[in-house]
Amino acid sequence: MQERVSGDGATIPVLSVRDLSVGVSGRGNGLLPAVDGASFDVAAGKTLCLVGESGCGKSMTCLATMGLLPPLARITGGRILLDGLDICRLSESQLTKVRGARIGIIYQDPTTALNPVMTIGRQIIEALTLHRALSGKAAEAEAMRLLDRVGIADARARLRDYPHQLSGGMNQRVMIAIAIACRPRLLIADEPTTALDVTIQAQVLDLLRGMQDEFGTAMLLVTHDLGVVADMADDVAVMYAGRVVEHGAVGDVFTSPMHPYTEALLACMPRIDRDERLLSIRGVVPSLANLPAGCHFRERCDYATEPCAQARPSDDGGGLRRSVACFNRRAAA
Amino acid sequence: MNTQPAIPTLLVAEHVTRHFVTQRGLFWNARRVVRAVDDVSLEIHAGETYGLVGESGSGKSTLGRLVARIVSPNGGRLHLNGRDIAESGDRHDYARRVQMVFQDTLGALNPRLNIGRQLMEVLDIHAIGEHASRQGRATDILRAVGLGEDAARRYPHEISGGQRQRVVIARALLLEPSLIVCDEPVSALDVSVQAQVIELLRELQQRQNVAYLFISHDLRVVRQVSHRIGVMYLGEIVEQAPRSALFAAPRHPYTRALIDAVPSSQPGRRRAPLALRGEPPSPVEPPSGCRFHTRCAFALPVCRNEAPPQRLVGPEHLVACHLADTLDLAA
Repeated sequence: MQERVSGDGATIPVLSVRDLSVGVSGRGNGLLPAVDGASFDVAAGKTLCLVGESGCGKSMTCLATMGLLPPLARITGGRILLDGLDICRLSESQLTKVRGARIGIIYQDPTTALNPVMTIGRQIIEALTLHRALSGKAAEAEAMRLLDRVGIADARARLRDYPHQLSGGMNQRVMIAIAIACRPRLLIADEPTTALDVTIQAQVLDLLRGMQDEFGTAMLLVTHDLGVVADMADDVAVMYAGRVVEHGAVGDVFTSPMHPYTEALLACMPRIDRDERLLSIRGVVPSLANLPAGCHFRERCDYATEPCAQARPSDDGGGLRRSVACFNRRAAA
Repeated sequence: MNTQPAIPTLLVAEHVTRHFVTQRGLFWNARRVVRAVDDVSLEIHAGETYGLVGESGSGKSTLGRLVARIVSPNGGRLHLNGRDIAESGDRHDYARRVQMVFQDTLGALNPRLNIGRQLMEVLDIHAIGEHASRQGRATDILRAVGLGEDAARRYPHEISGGQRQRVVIARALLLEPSLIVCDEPVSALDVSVQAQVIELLRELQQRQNVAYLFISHDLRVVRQVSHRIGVMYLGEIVEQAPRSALFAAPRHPYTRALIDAVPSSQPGRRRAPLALRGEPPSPVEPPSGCRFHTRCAFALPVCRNEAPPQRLVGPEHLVACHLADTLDLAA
């Protein structure tokens, strides 16, 4: 596979994922390909969104990037470079140092991601002690400043609260405070607003965008909501059955989707500014144990032809500016 | 009234109120009253979809449950086809006219019965048709919601979330109700499947003239399905209007904020930072006056002191805001 060139050609991206494959052990099926040859870059200050239906490998890609794959899953190929450092080759203790210090993580459900028996103050201070060697008064002052920064009023009192005393939206703000405590180079957010009300979602997305502008953080954002993608992304990678089927700048992908799957996903997105009928995609994402031969999207695709059943289309090598893996790619508008 | 024949009113809620008493504290009992639904009035016409939106805790699910007669009101009345529902037969009879579809399909179906048995069970309980004809009826209804005959032999865990929601809809339809309360029916589904279920609901409505009370936190979905929409905030309906009027010219600052909070769907036209601050206050002690005044960008002293009455500001367009005549909230 050819070496891809980042957006402006010169800068090294903060995160560079190349041909990443993740296998999951199935019942007597050997390793199932949860992620299959995914490649993408995230540059400083930019956001890449991973989109696709459930079971397309978005979260597995994230977990691999964080070095947090579940026991039954492992990386079977490819590289994950964080500022040029291959994190697949790090030992667990080296990884622990990288996580938190250079990678901040935000999960979908903040109430289970936070420790229920520790005050939120202690949880923030723990991150500051481990990764920034702050302690005592200095750590507490910094924790208060962070809470204030993520928009939590009366920060001093809130430090002594436990997660169950705060709302889901407030807990997500605490998660963000912990994630940015060490001013990480990369922020990974897996469906960060899916559990929140639309108003709180808007506030949290505004907050993430503000952080990014301030610190120049690179962000890998997983979401199933194309509206959130339109709002947040610079680039978008569309995943289907473990593969990145289309990749490009968000404006290009939304205005002229080239992969039939992207086109179909966009057509079923309900929009606030239109009353048009929604289209849908027939069938469901195939299970990993039962992937169809040829193109995995073939059975749900309106444009499938003979070659689609024979072989799997590979990426057209368009590089990270725009690439599509389809024999019958739609013409760019 | 104009000359068009009036669409019959199916359901009328008059000043409906439901309070819940909670007990908090480990060693002492502090009785607190949650005003989940507080003095709500609305009408649903035959064959229409009434969308209900609001943040969590706004009382929209409780209102749905009141309409489905799963909980009963502390105050006010509900009428179905002109008859007070509290005085028209028991819950069992009511279920034939009003059904409910839930978000959590695994929880709504019996994990130990196959789909066919669950559908038959409904017909058995309501003693509909001869025993022999029931199986055919169950198969017909599965076909009507786009599932094959073989689905009858499957168990809930064996089929996808989208298919399960089709089963739940099929079960609701079996009794040919005139109203189905849909509480977040597509929120747990992928966007591709969401569109399928929305289209199915629309198609069934055209075929059977069933009305929906469609509860959702997602304004985009509500816009897709609804003829009229009510916006709830802390137990009250603050604005109610036909779909086009609500989205083109909302008259309540809260409605405007809800619309503004929705992601833009067009890259390059980024949503402006949200003006709405904070989270909804607790429904245990709602703010005085207008309940929204603590988060409203336009609040005046009067908003803190006096609850705004509901006023008619356009055809079928009701709003409860002191400033509805002075604010221009159209996009």
